[in-house]
Amino acid sequence: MKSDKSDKPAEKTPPDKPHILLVDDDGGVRYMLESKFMNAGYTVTKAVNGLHAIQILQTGKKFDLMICDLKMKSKSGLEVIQFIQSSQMKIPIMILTAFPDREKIVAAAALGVRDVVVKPVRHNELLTMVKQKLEGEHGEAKAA
Amino acid sequence: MAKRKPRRRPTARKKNVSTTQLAKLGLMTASLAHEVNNPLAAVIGCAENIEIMLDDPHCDHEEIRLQTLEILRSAERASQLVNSMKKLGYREQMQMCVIDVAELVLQSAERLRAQLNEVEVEFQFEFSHPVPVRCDPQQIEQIVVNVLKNAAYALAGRHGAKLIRVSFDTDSRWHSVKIWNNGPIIPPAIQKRLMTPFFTTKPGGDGTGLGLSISRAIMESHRGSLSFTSCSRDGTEFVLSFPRLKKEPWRKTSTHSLGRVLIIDRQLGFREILAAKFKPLGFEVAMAETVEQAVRQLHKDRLLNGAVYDIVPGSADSLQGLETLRRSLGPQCPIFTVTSYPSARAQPSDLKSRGATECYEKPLRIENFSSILRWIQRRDNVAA
Repeated sequence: MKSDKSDKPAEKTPPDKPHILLVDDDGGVRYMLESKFMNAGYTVTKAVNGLHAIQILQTGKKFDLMICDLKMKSKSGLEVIQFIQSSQMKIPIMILTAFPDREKIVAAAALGVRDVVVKPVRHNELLTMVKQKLEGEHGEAKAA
Repeated sequence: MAKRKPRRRPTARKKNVSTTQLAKLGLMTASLAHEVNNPLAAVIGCAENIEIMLDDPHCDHEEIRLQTLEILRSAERASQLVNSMKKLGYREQMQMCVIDVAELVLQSAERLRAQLNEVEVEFQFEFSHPVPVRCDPQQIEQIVVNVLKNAAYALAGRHGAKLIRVSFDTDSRWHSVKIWNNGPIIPPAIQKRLMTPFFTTKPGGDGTGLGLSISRAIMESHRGSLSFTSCSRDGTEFVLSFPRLKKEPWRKTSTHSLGRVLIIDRQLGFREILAAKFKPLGFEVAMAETVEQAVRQLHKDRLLNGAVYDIVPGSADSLQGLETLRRSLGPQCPIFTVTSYPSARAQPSDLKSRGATECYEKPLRIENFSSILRWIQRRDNVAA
């Protein structure tokens, strides 16, 4: 299916569009979100788990936003956030989770990530949050 | 009137157990929410994508098709998860009967072998005596297939000989089925969580992480257990243990010959398994791979009390073989057909019109075997 064959990092829209790094180990969710963001005019790079995301980030590619799942088999979302912090990268981060585990949410907040989206999320709500995050209207202070 | 015992307050141990169970339930709920919300997110998101795309009069139909397929795929996954959960929590009505579990395991391995060609696994089957247990054969087959598939999955990444060995062990209380493989060991950190619901080491989508926890629940509902060991010295072994029956069938009852039985089956393992049930009862057993071979043998020694013939339902060869066998054995000698395949294409009336006395499915239930015995012990049945 399309969701699987296009999982390699690839930009499908011109590079001047905001570039989102999408990290989720569920193929269906990756495919659905990629369609949404691309139709909304964003460039999307997908990572199939935390380890894959770290490998992409290590290439030095610049992203305007990272949307990251928390519970993944190869390196969790928290580990990706920790890697970004320790590498002193400046990437706005939004967490996208199917189950908001209180401990993990608190741990993410301690690392400065406070935007949490709980799956399933409605189209307009998600795109509005992404837009606001990219424009920095509410910045990191906005809690979910 | 019997004096009622005063109600005891729950002991500390009992309280601990219920706290642990509640904690487990909490973890399971969290995992279930995670596993079901993911496909649901894909379903809702893709449906919304389609709705938006349809606003465009020139929308890309191919893209809509892909979104629809993703909805179907994700919805099916959620449905599978819920069905598996149901099996874990809700004990289905069990269809209990006494079978030789060795026969069931061999049958499951044979069915799976065809699907495992790519992995090139060598199956070893170490069998010496019937292993009678009371169980629901379908549920036990589900466990055996699950454990064998996991073993094959583990072996796929191994270089060199890939071995799965099935053996049986009996002590005073238990019959055990041991399924061993020489694949990479299960790391100790993973061993602790292996039977936890939703825990899987398979990449996204390949496993629900419910197989082993359901298997364990099934074994417990059979008053048995499912356990495993995994270390680099001895490999990985899963053990299904069943309580022994108080009175076991297929045990030595006679030192005199009660007659002669012919077994025709393409698989040596099945021939031996069946023979091991007749021999202790005092029957001599002749075995053949095909009807042709059996007929050649009959010319040498035609004295037979009955024949058991393994068939493929709907196969012209099997039907022809049955007719040949009937002609060779004469009208009186009972012939029993057995098959490993589901009954959809096996028409007992068709088989009986071509010479079968009775038709059974594998694994043979104890009552099927008793019926065979009643037939072959009639003296007037002897083929001559």
